[in-house]
Amino acid sequence: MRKTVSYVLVTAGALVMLVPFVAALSNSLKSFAQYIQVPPTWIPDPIQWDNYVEVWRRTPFGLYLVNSLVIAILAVIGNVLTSAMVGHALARMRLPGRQALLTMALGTMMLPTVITIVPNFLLFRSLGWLDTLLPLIAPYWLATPIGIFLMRQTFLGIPKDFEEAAGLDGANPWQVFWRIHLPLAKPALATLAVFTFTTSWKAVLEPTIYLTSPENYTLPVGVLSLKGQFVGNDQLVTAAAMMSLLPMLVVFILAQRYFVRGTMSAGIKG
Amino acid sequence: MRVRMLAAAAVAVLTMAGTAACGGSADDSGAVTLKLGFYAAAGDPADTTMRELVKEFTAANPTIKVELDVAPYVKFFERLRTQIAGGQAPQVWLSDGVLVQEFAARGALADLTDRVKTVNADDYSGIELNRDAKGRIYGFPQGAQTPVLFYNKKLFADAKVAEPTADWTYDDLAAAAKKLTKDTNGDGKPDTYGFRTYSPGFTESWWPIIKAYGGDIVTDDNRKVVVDSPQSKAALDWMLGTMGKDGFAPDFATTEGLGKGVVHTLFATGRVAMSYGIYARTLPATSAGVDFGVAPLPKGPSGRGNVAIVNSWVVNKKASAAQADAAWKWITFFSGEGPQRKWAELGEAIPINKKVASTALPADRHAFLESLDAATDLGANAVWSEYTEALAKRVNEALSGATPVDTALTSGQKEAQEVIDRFYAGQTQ
Repeated sequence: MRKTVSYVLVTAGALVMLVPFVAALSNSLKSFAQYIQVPPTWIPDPIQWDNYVEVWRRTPFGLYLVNSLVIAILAVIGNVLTSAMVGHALARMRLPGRQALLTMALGTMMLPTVITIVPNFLLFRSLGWLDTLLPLIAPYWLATPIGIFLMRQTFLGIPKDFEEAAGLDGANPWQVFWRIHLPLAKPALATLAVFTFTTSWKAVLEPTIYLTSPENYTLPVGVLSLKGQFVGNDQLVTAAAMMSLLPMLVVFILAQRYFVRGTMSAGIKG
Repeated sequence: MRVRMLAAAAVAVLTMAGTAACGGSADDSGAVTLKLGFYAAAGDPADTTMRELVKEFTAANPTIKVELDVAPYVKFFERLRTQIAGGQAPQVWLSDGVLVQEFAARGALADLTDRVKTVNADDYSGIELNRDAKGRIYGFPQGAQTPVLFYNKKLFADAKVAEPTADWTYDDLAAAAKKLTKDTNGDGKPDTYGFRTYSPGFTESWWPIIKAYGGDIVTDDNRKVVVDSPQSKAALDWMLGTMGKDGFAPDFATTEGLGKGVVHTLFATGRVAMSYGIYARTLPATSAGVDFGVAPLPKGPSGRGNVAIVNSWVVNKKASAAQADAAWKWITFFSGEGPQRKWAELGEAIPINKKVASTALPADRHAFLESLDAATDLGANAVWSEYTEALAKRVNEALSGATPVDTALTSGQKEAQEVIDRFYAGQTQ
């Protein structure tokens, strides 16, 4: 009985969560006149599939998709690798001032992005990276504070017996990291991968600032590029947003098991 | 060895990047590259037309190569501010009229005063609206916006109410609006309102109404806020009445909740019969299939309170002499009859070329031209965004009924003045 109630409540909650998605799907299939109609209708009449075609006609949507994928995949690889390395060093190695280093790294999370945008812009300009994908990838290869924190907590939770046993077998610190600890941290790595992918995928401010050529746009910038000043083109923007959701949905479904496990165990220190 | 090779590669990359970042002067052949920025949605008619015009321009000026920097309005200015800080802004860009002085005061714009003297100012609208306190001009008009009274012809006919005329006063507007307000489903709440009074975009709301009632917002070269006056109070009281006791306008919460970009759908969907709107509002109304007309703003105790925003081309102060010349060439090209006529076809802005404006606009849209001729500027100064935000916050509190009107005007004036004083304190410009 209690289980049934739980299922009913969870299903009701899920349905409520679905409402904005369904509304967006409906809006993406409306004409402008239907889009602004009051009261709004749930089922468009006629269904305007053309909105999706129009998005492809107006923008190189496929190119945006490729750019976003390239950035997100390289960001995931870079962040997972470097954050794991830094997190491992902070958790398992005797470094002088490691607590201070961690505090400093986490402290950078307190800085709003807008504060660092101009210094970063100047840095990337001097590197000749403006209007390339590099400013959106390279920072992820220097480890991120959230990644460092997540991986440090994970490595702290792994019993010391494993590395002691590996040490007796002659493993060096790199081998302990690569062969013993990293495989045990798979759920956290998957979580970090999903976090990084979604953060990179939906970023708007940085791509808007750094990318000026349409052929370099990412999906969110491409979606927003459809937004008109006087006639909103909101139905087109919504159609483009629906299409841009799909890859993220696929990533989440593939890594859902790890994602849930990883977020649940991130705060546990063994 | 490997480290040395990496260092050498890094130096080479940085040198190449540095070299690429410089340049801009004309080369030996006289060719010059011009980065041109403008705001438009991807694939929109404005985007397409601007690109076509750039093609025409470069075909006529083969020594000028134009690189485009385009983004939708909000994103364009977000990026531009960073580009200016980083010394990477386009050499010529389209600026919202109210932002020209902001960029100029921060040293980003070239003074165009002498160049403007080379054209016949009588041929163009809006040049004077761009002149700053010291008589300098930093932007050349590209297109103009000014609010007029939009009305829904079908709703007027259905209610058997005579359409607005140039002689209308605020009393006439109120009388008609009351007749046009209808509760068709009998739920005690109007389904159609006579007039949309409040808008989060004050150009089409309290700014012209305050001026029509004899109040003003800023004076003394737009550096002194004077909104706290009995006339302003009378204007805001009238507005409150329309949304309250008279009940012929949607209330503050409804209109504020829609947001700046969506509030105009009230007119486009026939939920209000009349609304103040700039020229660009013809686009959503036309897209939604509304049969509408436009009339001059009604007369208040002190006139109509016409205001205008003149979106303008500006030239980067850091542009080389050759680029600045090329930029001016582009500006004069765009202001010419052919390009202006092409731009007018979009229906997005009033052409600034007077000859084109008088012929390209249909006769029943000439209220825009009369309004533009009579318009004052929208209080532009170096901190326009900030001081109008401070003021609008207090005015909105009054219009929502949260604060008494006189209290809101007093605090709004004080806070807006503080913003202006903070910027200009110690400024010699």
